[in-house]
Amino acid sequence: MAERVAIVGVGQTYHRSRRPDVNQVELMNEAVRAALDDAQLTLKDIDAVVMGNMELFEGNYLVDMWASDGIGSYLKPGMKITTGGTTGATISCAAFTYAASGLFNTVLAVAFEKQDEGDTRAGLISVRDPLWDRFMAIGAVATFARMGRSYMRASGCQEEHAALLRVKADRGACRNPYAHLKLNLTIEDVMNSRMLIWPMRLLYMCPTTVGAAALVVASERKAKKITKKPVWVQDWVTVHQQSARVHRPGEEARVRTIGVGETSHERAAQLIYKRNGITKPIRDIDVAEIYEPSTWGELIWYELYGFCEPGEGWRWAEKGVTDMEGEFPVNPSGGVVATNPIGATAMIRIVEAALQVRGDAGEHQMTRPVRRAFTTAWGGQNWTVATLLSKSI
Amino acid sequence: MTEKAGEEFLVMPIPLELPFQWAAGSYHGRTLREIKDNNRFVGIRCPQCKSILFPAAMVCPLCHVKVGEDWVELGEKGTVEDFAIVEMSVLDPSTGKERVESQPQAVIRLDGGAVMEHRLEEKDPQKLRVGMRVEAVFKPEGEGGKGDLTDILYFRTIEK
Repeated sequence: MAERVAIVGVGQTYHRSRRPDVNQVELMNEAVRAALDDAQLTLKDIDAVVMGNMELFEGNYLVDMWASDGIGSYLKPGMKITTGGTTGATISCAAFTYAASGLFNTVLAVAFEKQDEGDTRAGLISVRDPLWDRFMAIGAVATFARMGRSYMRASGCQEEHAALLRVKADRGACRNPYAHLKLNLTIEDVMNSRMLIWPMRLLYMCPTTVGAAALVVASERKAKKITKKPVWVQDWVTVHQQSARVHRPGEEARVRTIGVGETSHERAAQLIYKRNGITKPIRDIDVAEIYEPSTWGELIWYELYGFCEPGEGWRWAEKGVTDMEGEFPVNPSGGVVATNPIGATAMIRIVEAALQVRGDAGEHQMTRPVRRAFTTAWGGQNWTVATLLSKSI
Repeated sequence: MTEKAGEEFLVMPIPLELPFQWAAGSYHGRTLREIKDNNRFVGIRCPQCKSILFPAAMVCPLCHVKVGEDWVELGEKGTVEDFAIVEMSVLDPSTGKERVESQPQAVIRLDGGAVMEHRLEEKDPQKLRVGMRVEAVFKPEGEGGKGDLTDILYFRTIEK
């Protein structure tokens, strides 16, 4: 990396089911204003703008052109990036790379989704190969249901363990002023919520949310001038998963994690740990903000990220290891099951992790100091973006 | 999108016809043609890593070598590795309309080693289990096989 980079400003909207009071451009502008205010900068200070969302969700082609009025990209270099569920993280990584390259000193990254304006399912309908398995596409609910069921079968996990994590997420969301679903849930509430596909209940799945997020990223020299509390971007990595069309004789299909062979989650986590001397995440990382579209995913992904041993995820849920007060807090913000403006969701992980590192998360701030935070994003046909944020360099 | 009292929306349905013509290429195309003409599943073996590519493809995604002509018959029987009973309405990707997925969906390991997703005939949860043996049931001849996976009606349980 040519230059070290830091996050010097973060912003997000209050996340809701519907926002008829603003249009898409104005929604993005809310997050941009918040991030610029946080950095105490104006648009004049921004050298380049990167933005994105989920293509097709709002029915606009060339969304970067529409967005220009709200995100200040007029006459500025930049690009649109739409990588499905990972969009918000990929945009962030593009901003990190821009600043690290030395081409731009101060970069704005903006992500949004206005899910009240279109049909999310229709937007996702073309995700699979029309000449092969598109006819089987039944969406994320069934996919995660299948994952949860095979995890239960393989590990001894019971539904109660997912319910414990869902209550944990809700406790975080209730403390987070920006979170979408704040439900004051009990285990009973969760386990009585509507069954979609066994063992997937409504509350184990992320909501459809309207919201936006923004980051201001700067190169080291600039960052130190802008803020006293830069959050250093220690590393970032993107990993795509092996094709599900390659079949090695004797290799088990790992249906509970979707796919065959090593998963993108495992590879991304191992890569970033190795590059940064992390041998024991529970000791070397203080907080994680992970992208869990479903509570069932969260349980399983603790294991894939190497937070705990294989088969131990549900025991962690039982022991409360990942509670805000636990030994290894995961998603003190409430996570994705509480708030999911899809294009922005992965950036919110980074925003929240940065706030934890700064000590500015407010009511959901961890009580002990956060030196290092880990974030992930997960996208459709299986790829992972992971980042590592740090208080010092 | 539902409208609440006091809010006004400009609702613009977009009834687009979006006709696409996708080229399968000769390798994937042969997998599809074998399904249509011969009711069988064929993949191709990578000369380097010996993985089976199914559907067949020109280049191995792992080794990035061209695969040649080592075609492999995978058989029409297999073992259920996982399944899900889908009891909710889903948006049908081929019509864009709501439909209830009435058959259980399964991940099936064909005896020839490749994995595919398809539907099961058996709907009784008591009779579904991981490890059950199944075989593909193709549409009868003359009933409009198209040369894709919808030419298979479902996988039925093989009686012991």
